[in-house]
Amino acid sequence: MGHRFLRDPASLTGFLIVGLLLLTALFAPLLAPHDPEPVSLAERLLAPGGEYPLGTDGLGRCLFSRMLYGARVTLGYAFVVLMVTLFVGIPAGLLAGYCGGFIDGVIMRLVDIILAFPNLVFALVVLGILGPGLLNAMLALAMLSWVSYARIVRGIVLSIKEKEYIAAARVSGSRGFVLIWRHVLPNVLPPVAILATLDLGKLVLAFSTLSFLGLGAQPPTPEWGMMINDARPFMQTFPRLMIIPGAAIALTVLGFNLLGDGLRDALDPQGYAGPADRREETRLPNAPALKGGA
Amino acid sequence: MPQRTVLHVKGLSTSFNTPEGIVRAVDGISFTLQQNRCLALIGESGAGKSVTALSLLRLVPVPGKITGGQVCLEDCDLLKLPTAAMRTIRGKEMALIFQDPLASFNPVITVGSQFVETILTHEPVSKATARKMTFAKLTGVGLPAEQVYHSYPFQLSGGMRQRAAIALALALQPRVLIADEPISFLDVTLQLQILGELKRQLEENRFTLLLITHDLAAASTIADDVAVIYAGRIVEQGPLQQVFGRPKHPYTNALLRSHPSFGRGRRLEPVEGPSPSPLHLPAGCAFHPRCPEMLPCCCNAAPELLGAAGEHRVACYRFNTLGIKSIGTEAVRA
Amino acid sequence: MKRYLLNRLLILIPVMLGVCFITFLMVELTPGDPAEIILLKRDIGVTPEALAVARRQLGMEGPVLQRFINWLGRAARGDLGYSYTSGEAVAKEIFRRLPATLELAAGGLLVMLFLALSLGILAALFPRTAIDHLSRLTALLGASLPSFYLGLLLICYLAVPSPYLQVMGLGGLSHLLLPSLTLGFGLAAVYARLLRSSLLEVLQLDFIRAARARGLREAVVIGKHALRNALIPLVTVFGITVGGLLGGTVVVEQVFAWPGVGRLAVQAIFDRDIPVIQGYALFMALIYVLVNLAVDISYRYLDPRIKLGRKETG
Repeated sequence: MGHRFLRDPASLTGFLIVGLLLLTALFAPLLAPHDPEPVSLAERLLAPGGEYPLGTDGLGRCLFSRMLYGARVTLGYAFVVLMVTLFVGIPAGLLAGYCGGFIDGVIMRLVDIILAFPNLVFALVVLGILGPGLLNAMLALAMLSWVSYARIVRGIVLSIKEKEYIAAARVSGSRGFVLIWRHVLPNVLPPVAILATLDLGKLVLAFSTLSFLGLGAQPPTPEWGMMINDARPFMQTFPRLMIIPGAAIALTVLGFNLLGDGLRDALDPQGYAGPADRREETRLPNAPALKGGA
Repeated sequence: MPQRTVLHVKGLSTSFNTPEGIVRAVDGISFTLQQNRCLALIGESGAGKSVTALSLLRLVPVPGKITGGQVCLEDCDLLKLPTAAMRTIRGKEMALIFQDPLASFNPVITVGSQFVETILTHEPVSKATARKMTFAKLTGVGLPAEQVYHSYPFQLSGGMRQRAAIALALALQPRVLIADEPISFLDVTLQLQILGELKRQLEENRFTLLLITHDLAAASTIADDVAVIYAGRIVEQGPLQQVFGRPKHPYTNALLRSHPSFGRGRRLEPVEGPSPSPLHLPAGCAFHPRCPEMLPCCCNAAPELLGAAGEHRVACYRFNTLGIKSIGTEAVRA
Repeated sequence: MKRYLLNRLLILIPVMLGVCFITFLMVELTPGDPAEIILLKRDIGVTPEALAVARRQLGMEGPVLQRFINWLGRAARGDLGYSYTSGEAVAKEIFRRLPATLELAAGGLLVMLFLALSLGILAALFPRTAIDHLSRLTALLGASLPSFYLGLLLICYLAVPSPYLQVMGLGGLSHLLLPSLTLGFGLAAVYARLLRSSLLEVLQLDFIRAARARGLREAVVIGKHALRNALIPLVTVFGITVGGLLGGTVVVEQVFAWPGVGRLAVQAIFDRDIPVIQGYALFMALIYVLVNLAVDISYRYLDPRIKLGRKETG
């Protein structure tokens, strides 16, 4: 599976983008020529070159350094939110699927209620309660995204519960949660891995959106979405201040999307195969049977 | 009754250009269809029967392509027609019935409106007239017209669906009806009914029927002539009685022996060996690796389809070279 | 069908109650005393008497459940309280600004449908050609570009050089075009790919070949027979898209200074103006839920196999 995954140019591109971003995020302090935060009005809006590879922003900060640290902020917080999401979503799904009955009812109704709001609206509700801010934005996104994991895990648990090898394990004496852990989890992991990769892209997008609206990261944190908002006054005079962070967000999301799609092809090929063909004759040269693309 | 040739197919070839290589699904086949008669095209699945049917209508799916030959409807070579003109042939002059009766109809549109739509495409009539014609056609195949008209395809039983498909195919009184395995999705009692329906329509209307089937019994019930196709080529053709009664080609023989109605109490013998891969057809006669009567020359070049007796023709070296005498004697006995 | 509708509506009741409860809880969960906030916002001295009056006005007396029921009763009569900042009735303010948001959402929807249908159909008709690759590229871009970034790029490189396109605030078509494009583009990209694979699958089915064999025009075969079947599975995803559309208006309104409810809500978050956020959330959830209901029902109408209650695989 591994080499097929890396042979696909799209997945490989995704892999490289994400890898490069991770390295940037990890080594930002080593790579950045300047401190990303202190304001220096004397050096504002400098052109790229020399000491400042990408020039400086409206407050005289090194754009290049802010971009590097921005990778750290964006990826770091997206990962934290994802961890919280997995930590809540998977157990909730396991619990709902395994226990059924009342617990299932409560969890799934909660899921229904959260899903009754358009996603961003729900985030606004949470931020309305807690007020704007980085941590609050993270919390809002976590409260939103656990839902899809709970649903998918619950679905898998329900379908696996019917299968025979669970019954066999029951007979052979495995009980309760140990049983789930041993038998259900391996089945749950591939789809969760795919979903999580795609979700990282979505989280980066959502996080930068909230920051753009001023509801997420607060100054002087170098965050790409906020940097775009800060660049709006200079949009026409110094477009690079907006274009560079925007391109960085787009590239990041693209990387996770490509990686996630590649993972899906590698881990879940059935979802891709299309309907079984019962007549071989008319379509006989089982040609590049028109498979659906991404 | 003088026979009137409706469709004349000459050297029709269709191949599929796949990444693995070129597949000659239909390789230079020729036959004629006479009015009010039925020709059964018989062969195993994968032999090129359905591709033949689609080639006649110029509906071969990509990456398939008709590479040569003629398909003459009366005097008009369909392969030379412009696309728009070909469209007026489909459904109007030449109609197709599919294997899966459900497949003939769009699942989310009522049966009736699919009739009306077809009629309106080809005839300058009002919607009300089209509707009336539909009712007449449905009644003509023994269906409760009112009910069927308003039904969705999935609401009809398999037999009703195939009757409706026949009615739809015959709605515009085409000159040629191609039935591609019309009964293989139905259960046995329905098979007979549908064959009966086809036969009755053939007697009452002016058209010619090309029955494509792997089912020898079906062919023998309804066909006047048969053509046996193997790996894209016709290996034996002629009047039903002659071909089934005195099969010449070892493949036809093997097919008949594998079938309960023609085994005549003998032990049933399946055709030996696997069907050849369409990508790597054996050189020479494609049947030679499975042939019990193979000659050394069979591996070199494919035998031509030559006359055995009267209309009966066969593509086999045993008859083309050695068998002349024996055929002569058999013809006398027949 | 009636039975299904009834069931579907019955499930809605607890969900809507939950939505209301969460919305109601906003006041309860917000740190700080709303009565105090309101007094401070209106520059009224915070005295115990003033606080008591403000509390009574806000309906903040009695146990939680009691207050929830009162709140629900008022909400049902269209009374969603008063904005802390403007003092205006929330329902009135939202109703005033809702048409702008709905106009934007409708514009985005049209752009989405137009782009998705044209790109998806073209890509399916010409798979593995330049058109297909272009549609794939567009889809990747659409899924990756943040809408606010796309909006700013459009302003910078399309609207500023063009004398026709307007970028700020409400107005005619010239105002609506870019915001709609910004809103619809990302969603369209995803749909185009979904439609492509769905259409490719349908085009392989026998009834399409049967339709061609009956001599129907290619436009009818694709536009009527294939498209209708290909769209059915997409309808189920459509509900989620509407969520994206409604949520997306917040961002687009911010970028294009569009005076809709999304802008109101974001400002309200900065102002800690809870009743306005409450009203916004409630309206959005209500619209979203109703649209999803409509989608579910229309799905049943589009596919007679479900409408008539007999499922069979074709």
